[in-house]
Amino acid sequence: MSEYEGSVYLRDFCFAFPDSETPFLKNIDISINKGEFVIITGPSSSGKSTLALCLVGIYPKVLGGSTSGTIKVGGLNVHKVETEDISTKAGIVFQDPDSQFCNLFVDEEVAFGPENLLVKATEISDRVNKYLKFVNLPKYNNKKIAELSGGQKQRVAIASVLAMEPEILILDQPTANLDPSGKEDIYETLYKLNQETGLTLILIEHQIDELIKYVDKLIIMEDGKVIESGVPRDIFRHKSQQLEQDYGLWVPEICRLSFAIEETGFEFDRFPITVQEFVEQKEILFPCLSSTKTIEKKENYAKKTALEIKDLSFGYSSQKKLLQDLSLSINKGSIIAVMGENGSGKTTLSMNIIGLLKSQSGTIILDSQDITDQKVSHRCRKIGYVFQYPDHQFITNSVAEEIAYGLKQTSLSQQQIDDIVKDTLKTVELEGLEERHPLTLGMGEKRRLSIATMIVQRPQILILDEPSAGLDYKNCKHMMDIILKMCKEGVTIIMITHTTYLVAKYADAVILLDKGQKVFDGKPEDLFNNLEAIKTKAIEKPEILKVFDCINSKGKIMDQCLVADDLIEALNRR
Amino acid sequence: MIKFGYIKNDSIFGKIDSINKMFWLIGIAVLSYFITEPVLQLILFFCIVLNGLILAKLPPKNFFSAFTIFLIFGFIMFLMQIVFYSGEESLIYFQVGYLKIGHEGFRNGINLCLRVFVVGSSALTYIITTEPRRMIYDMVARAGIPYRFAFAFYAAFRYIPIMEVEAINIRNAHIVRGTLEIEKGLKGRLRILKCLAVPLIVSGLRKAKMSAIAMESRAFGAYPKRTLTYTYTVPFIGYCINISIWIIALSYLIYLIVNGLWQFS
Repeated sequence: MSEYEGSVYLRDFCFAFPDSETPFLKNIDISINKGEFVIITGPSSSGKSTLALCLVGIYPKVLGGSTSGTIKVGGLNVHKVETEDISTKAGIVFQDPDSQFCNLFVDEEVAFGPENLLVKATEISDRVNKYLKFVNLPKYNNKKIAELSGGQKQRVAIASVLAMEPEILILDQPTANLDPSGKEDIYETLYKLNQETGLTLILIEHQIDELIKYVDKLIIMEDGKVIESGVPRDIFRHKSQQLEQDYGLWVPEICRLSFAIEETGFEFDRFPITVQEFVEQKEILFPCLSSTKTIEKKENYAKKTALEIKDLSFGYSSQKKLLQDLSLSINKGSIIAVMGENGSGKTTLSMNIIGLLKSQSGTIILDSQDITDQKVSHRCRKIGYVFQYPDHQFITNSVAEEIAYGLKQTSLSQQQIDDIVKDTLKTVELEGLEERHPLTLGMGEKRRLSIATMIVQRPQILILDEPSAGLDYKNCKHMMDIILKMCKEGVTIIMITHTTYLVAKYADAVILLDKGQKVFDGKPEDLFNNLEAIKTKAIEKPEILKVFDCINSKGKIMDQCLVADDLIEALNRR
Repeated sequence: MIKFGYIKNDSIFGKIDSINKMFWLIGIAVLSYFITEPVLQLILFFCIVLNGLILAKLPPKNFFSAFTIFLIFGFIMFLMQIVFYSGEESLIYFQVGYLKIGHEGFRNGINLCLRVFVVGSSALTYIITTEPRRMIYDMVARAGIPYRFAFAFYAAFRYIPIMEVEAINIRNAHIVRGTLEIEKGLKGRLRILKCLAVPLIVSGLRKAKMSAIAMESRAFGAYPKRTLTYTYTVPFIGYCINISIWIIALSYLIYLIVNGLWQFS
């Protein structure tokens, strides 16, 4: 057996895209042992996905490009073998399941790989049943893929790769489009796979709070290079702050907190990276924490109602309603998070507010004016909408034109429009990119541009659909700073999101939807503290709140906070 | 939402193999081409609709809503034929300047419109009753078409609804940007179409690339053949229906030739 068999081994590996002489991936050194659970993380465009495609031979064999150095996967030299040989050693699952499916039905999708490899029909049938059972989808053989939920689709994608019986499974942000329950499904499946079959798992993710407990090795990439590789505990103990501030990474909340505590002079015997590990040290931590006073969150918004919805119902047919008698009231200048499982009616609600969908009954009152019967073109003057995929909203060929576009219907002079564009470019920090085509921007820049196109319209309400999707910490914080500035100017924000951190950190109130009905409307802390009573799988408890649950389990020691930032601030202020 | 898709059913037509059904479809189109009498064309159209509703058990709601597009297309053909008919007119119904509407143009327009209905309704019968994987099986296992080509059809089936949803999302995103207010007149509407097309094409190419990567990473095309895990029987009724329509079409052609009603041009 060679030293590389059953593992991933890269030495001085470089990769350049076709038509480029400069390597995008530079001098990569990675060793992954058989059966390891590895996470590759890093800011957007750092080369994570490109590396994954190199590991399965797609780059350079299918999509072109040039490589140098050593790259061995499952004992095979990727340079010297064909893609189909690698496919029996390493399989890959992508972010968007809909783009990677090749078939209409579950069983034929799982059978697709083995069929290509000329595996016998009887064995394929056994593999289909075996792996569908493994991902907890038995009896789903004849189901149409289009009828499955996001989490189920991603599990089918995993089963379809497993059916090729690879030694290494690579997953590129497999939970990016899933709600917390779908996410949990996937993580549990992956952990089971790793534990029961000894499969090597390489997972690319931005936010790794819930995953960190499973991980053997963490690889951090930046600008096409591996900047850190090792045990997560060691990396986060020494470099949490640097990773967050210099590289813009999502550092797990517990790691941030532990790092901040050590910065105060306290030293852990074993640096905690999970809630469990943190509270295990509570006896020695309590004296440190109990003298800390958290600051109560202030309500920065006005008490004036910006938007009121009364008994709103919507459905494509009278039998199946997607929204049922929904009533809510939103204060001016506040940030409201709309949460719920996939298909709970979040986007349907926002589409009704903007007028892209016409409600069957109920009223929508904006700034004391009934807009229920107003056309979408009228509503757009007061309500802005940033779609989940910013690409969809771009109309022109340059960033500057894109910002100016909405001003065309106003009576402003060209000079005034130019001035507004200049100011807006500064606000969203896109100066210097005026002439770039919007579709060539990075994800964070695209998101800021789509917000900029709405800012210039001076909306009273801005709806953001999954604003943090695909963003690293730096870009997300950047975007939220712009949003907070807008709030101070009186704009009301409605944010549809699955991201617990965004809600815990920024939201003034949360509306939780389930099957088109409102099941909660109140402050984030009240929601997170009553998740069991509300019986929802759509929301995960913030890690920091889990810590407080333990700290305060035998009587209140200190006031709780929802995010590490607030606790760290309190610690630093002592 | 999309209406052009397979709907599982246990009808006679649902059980017929896709190759016999394809020949049936071509036979209908040929017969319809031979027919120049609007009344006969209308009878053929009713037969196809009845066949769709009874033998193919097509859900009427799906069938008629999907048929709307052929209705529009047929009507456009009808208008174009009566306005631009270049032959001699035995009777002029209406004339304004150069624009004249006469008997022959009207008759041809009706016939052409009904021909669109005939082909459209039989194509719908084919699409709604043909299971895509059965079509792939028939193409690869029976017609000997390389599976790479057969999967191209399959991919199209998969991508039509996905791209339709994408187009709706892009259109909505543009409406929110105020395109309907800003882009007015014919030039503006064309610009809206261009704005819709660019992100749709970019998104389509991205998805196609992703799909190709996913297929390649699962060894698609590694060997000239691939395992077929399912098999289908070819029911005798399929041959009967296929042959019947061709007998009718050829008999009608012979009738036309014998009676001097058909001219080879």
